[in-house]
Parts: sequence; C-alpha cells; structure tokens
Amino acid sequence: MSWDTTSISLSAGCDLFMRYVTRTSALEYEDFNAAKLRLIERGEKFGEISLKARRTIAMLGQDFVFDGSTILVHGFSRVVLEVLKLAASNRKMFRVFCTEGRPDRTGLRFSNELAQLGVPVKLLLDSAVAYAMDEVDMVFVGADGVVESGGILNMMGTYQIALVAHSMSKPVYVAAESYKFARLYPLDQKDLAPAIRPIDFGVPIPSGVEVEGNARDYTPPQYLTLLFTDLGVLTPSVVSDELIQLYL
Amino acid sequence: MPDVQALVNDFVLKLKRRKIEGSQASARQTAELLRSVISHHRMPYTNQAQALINAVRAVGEHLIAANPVELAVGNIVRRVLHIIREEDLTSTESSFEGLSLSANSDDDDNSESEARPVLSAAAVAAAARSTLRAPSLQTLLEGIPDSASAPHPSSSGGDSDGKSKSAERSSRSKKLKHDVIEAINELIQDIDTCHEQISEQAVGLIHQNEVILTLGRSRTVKEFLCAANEKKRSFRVFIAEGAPRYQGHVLAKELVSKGLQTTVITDSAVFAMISRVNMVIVGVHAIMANGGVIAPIGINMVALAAQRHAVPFVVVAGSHKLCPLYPHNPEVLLNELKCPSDLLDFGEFSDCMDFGTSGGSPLLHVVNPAFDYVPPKLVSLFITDTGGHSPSYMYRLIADYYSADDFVVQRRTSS
Repeated sequence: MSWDTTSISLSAGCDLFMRYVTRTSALEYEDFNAAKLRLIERGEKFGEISLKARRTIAMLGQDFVFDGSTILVHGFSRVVLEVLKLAASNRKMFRVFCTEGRPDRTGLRFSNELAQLGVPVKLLLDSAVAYAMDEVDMVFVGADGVVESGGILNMMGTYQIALVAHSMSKPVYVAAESYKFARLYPLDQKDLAPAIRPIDFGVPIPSGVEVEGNARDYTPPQYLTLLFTDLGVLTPSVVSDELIQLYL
Repeated sequence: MPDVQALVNDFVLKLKRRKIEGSQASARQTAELLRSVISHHRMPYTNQAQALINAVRAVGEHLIAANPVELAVGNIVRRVLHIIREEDLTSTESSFEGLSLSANSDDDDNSESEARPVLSAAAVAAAARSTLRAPSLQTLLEGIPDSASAPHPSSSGGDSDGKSKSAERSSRSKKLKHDVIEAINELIQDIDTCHEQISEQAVGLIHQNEVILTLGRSRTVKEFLCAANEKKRSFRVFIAEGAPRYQGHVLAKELVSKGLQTTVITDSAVFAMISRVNMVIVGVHAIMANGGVIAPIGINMVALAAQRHAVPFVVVAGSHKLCPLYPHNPEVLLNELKCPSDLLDFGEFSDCMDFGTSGGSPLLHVVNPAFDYVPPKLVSLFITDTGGHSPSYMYRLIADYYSADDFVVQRRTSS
C-alpha cells in the first residue's frame, strides 16, 4: 500500500467527504455525467474549504495570544505555525518554548520557522516540560485527529504535556481543521492501532530490549481547554455534538 | 433624525458616567434606543437590511465604547443585528415563494425552465440561512451557494413584472422595518419577563428544608427565592454580606419581609458555613462563551468553597447576559476598579494617602475591583429564562442568539 494507513486525518477527511456524497442531493440527478460533474465540483470545494480553514483558525487563535505571553509548542503543526505567524505579524510580543520533539526533531524545524519570523524561541528537551511549565502561559498543540470524546490524537508526548499543564492550571489550546474530526472513541491509550515510526537512539540497542515505537498518544478531553477550528472556538464537548449530528 | 442622535448621545453619556445600574436596565434601554434608531432610519431602496445593519452597528460601536465593562449593551446590539439578518432572510424567502407561485400560474408550458431558477433561489436563501447559523460540519459544504447552477436571484425576479415592482418593493421595505421593530419589541418583553421565567423553575430546584447560600444582592436571586417561598417551600437562606457595598444586608431585609428564614454571614465566613449548605445560588454580571462567568467580587471564593465541599454552584441569569466573547485574559480585561471610598473613609485615612511623602506617591494604595471571573469548571448549572443548561452548552445558546459576523462589533483600529 502506498498510503499511510495510520493517518487519522486522511481517513477522517475521506469519511467526511463520503458523508457529503451520500447525504446530499448530489446523486439525485438522472444523468450520470451530471452527477459525476457535481461530485467532482464538490471535491474541489472540499479542498478549497480545507485550505481556507487554516486561515480561519489563525484568525481565531491569534486573539488568545496576549502581549508578554510565553507559549509552549509541541510537535510541528502547520496550523499552530499559522496562528503564531499571524500573531507575530499583528505585532504581538510573545515568546515560544519548543520541545525538541524526538525522534523526528519536529521542534528543531518549528523553532527554525519561528526564528525566521523574529519571534524569540527557546528549545527544550522533551523531558524539560515540567521544569519549564511555571514560566508558560499557555500550551499550543496541533492534532492528528480530533476524536468523538473531544480528545485529540497527536504526536507522542502531548498527553504528558497536557497532564503537566493541567496540574499547574495552564490552558491547553488545540488548533485543528474540521476535516480532522474522526469517528473514533478511544477508551485508553492502547485502544487504537499504533502508528509505528523508527526511532534512532544513536547507539545500538542491546539485544532482548524492546522499543516503544508508537508515534502518537491520546489526550482525553478533560485536559484540553479549547479547540480552535474553522467552525469556531469550541469546547471539547462541542466536538462530540458536531460529530453526532453529522453521523447520526 | 436629530432627535435620535440626541437620544444616542444622552445614553452614551449615561453609560460613561455609570448612571445605569444593572445589566437588565442597560439591556432594556439599549434595546429601546436601537428600536428608535431603526424606526427613524430612512430606508434606501436597495439593500435595506445592510443599511439597517450599518446604522445599528455605528450606534452600537459608540455604546460599547462608552462602557466596555457592561457587556449586556454589546449583547443587545448583537441580538438586534441578528434580528435584522433573520427578518431580512425570511422576507426574501417569502418573496421568492410568492414569485414561484406567480411564475407557475402564468405560464405552464415552459415550467421546466422556470422551475430551476426558483428552486435555486430557494437554495440560495437556504444557504444564506445556514451562513447565519454558526458553522458546523453539516453545513460546511452545503453552506456555499453553487456558483454553477444558481443564477443571480435579483435577475430571476427582474423580468417577471415591471409595473407592480416598485409598489411591491416599498411594501417590502415597510414590512422589513415593521418586522424588525416587532422582533425588538419581543426582545424587550423577554428582557422584562426574564425574572418571572427564571423564577418559575425555582420549585423544581429548591427542596424542602434545604439551606441555600448566596452572596451580595441580585434581583434575579431574590425573585427566584421568593418564588420558591410562595409555593410553600420552607428553606433557609445564608447571605454573605458582599463587601464592600454590603448589598447582602438589603437582600436580607427583603427576604425577611417575605417571611424567609434568613441568616447573614460575613464574606470570610463562607468557608466555615459551606459544609451546612445544600446549594449555592448566585446572580452574575455576564456569562462568557466558554461558560465562565463574570460575577461580583467574592463569588470566585464562594465557587471554590462550593467545589471543595461538592455543593452545587448554580448561576441564575437572564439570556441578555449571555456574551458571545471568550475571556482571553480575564484577570486583565473585563474588570472595573470602583471608588476606594467604599473601603476606607477618606477623612480618617487622609494622612496615609498624602502625596507629599516618599517622592510623590502615597504609601497606602486601595484597590477595589468590581468583578471576579469564575471558570466554567466551577459552575454546576446555569438557570436562564430558557431553562437549565450546563456550562458546556452555552455555545449552543450563543449560536441561537447571535450571528457569527456580529461577534466583533467594534472595528479594530489597525495599527
């Protein structure tokens, strides 16, 4: 198979599009070609909406960045980057803490992007999150998928950060496009098929030692404050409402 | 027109001088003012709804700027804008229906060609309706009118009848204005009767021999408690006095005159008494979009005490207090510092506030903030005039009452 079977946003987006195809009057045409044209048109519109979504989210999210704030970012999310870009271009003064993001060093890439914008950035070890949390005003993360409980699936380490933020009562904001809303309801971390990624430890791993290769974890909704989506700023419980309404 | 301008200026001045006490009075007077603005507004021949929206928006900007802390003013401005949008939509929809009827009766032979534009016009109206609603997954794709299949609604109506067009149009303009004013009257009535609507739910929430705690004085709470008392529920009320204005004393007097068992405590005794309390009922200043509330000072402490002892924390508020904004930074925004004379007597403390000592700034400072922010997780239930809702449900009420386009009334000064 040539596509990534573990990608949540891909399958969720396809599910959503299927829903638009089956639920609407698109297929009521007698003429096959007309129906086909209509479907193609819908597909293009779907793509267009998805492109516009990031811009909408940036507009909504940048309001939450206030002058003098410190933002902790985990993972490389293009939406989060867009939010911060817009905030920076609106001359908000803020600084960003980036986690290193092992094993694929997403934080290095992210900090590079921010440094080019002239935003003060600091890199942290993934294990330094709790150490740095008291300086942090808010946590920004993206999401691979937003599930029916209102929780998110995101890069490994998000759950840990959300727990630390929650215990220090810092808000956790998630930026995610609505095509990432997935019809999943994970009950615990092991409930989903793992997305295995190779991890380079630099040194050879001793024989007989196992490696946890999953690249994703599940953050339950009670640890999230708000979600910025192209449907507006939502509380986690709204996500379940939206999904239930659509798939009922 | 000049008399309306005078009315607006007068109201702005009152708001600036904080002459209007309470969000209900502010909401009501805002609605009345906007009603007269609309009724005196001269309607242009084209794009009337937009003209009305602009007029209301212009006035609204002034009102909100006059007292940004009184969120009810902005809420009512947004409600009125939403009303105009809705009425405009229903009037266009009904005119399309009339058009389709006449088209069908006139010529049956080419109904095939006529049927399509009428259908698409309805589709455009439906699409416009869905843009009025808050965006959702369902309307994400349907919400956009099809550029390929839909001809312009104005051109479809153009060729049908030229003679009666102007008459129809003027009657439509009168109708829109009339409908809007009618709807605003309903809104004013809703604001007036919100206390009764809320009080009706009192019997279902307050049980026999319960102990209720409240802080300060809120008219909504008073009527809520009195309504339960009238229905022969016997219960006791603890009133934290609500420093520094001690409005709790006034409430105690009012409740005793109605024959309620009342106990007055100091604000600092809330934690000591909370273990004996069955329910906390408070009135608030505003409800934010995330379900958090802006409330008189001291309420956050009560909410924390209630959470510590797992006592339900119930907020009673009319729907005019529902604000579609998020508290981005509640500690800094949305608060007001009141006069320090509430706390200290100027005469007695005049020597401590001497500007002559220590380089021009006095050693003694007094801070008297008016409001607290209570996060949504501390609120158990909201009782509004539309029933009981949990904090996470507030977004749905907001989607019902407001259009997403109106959330930001003030144009930002781009700098």
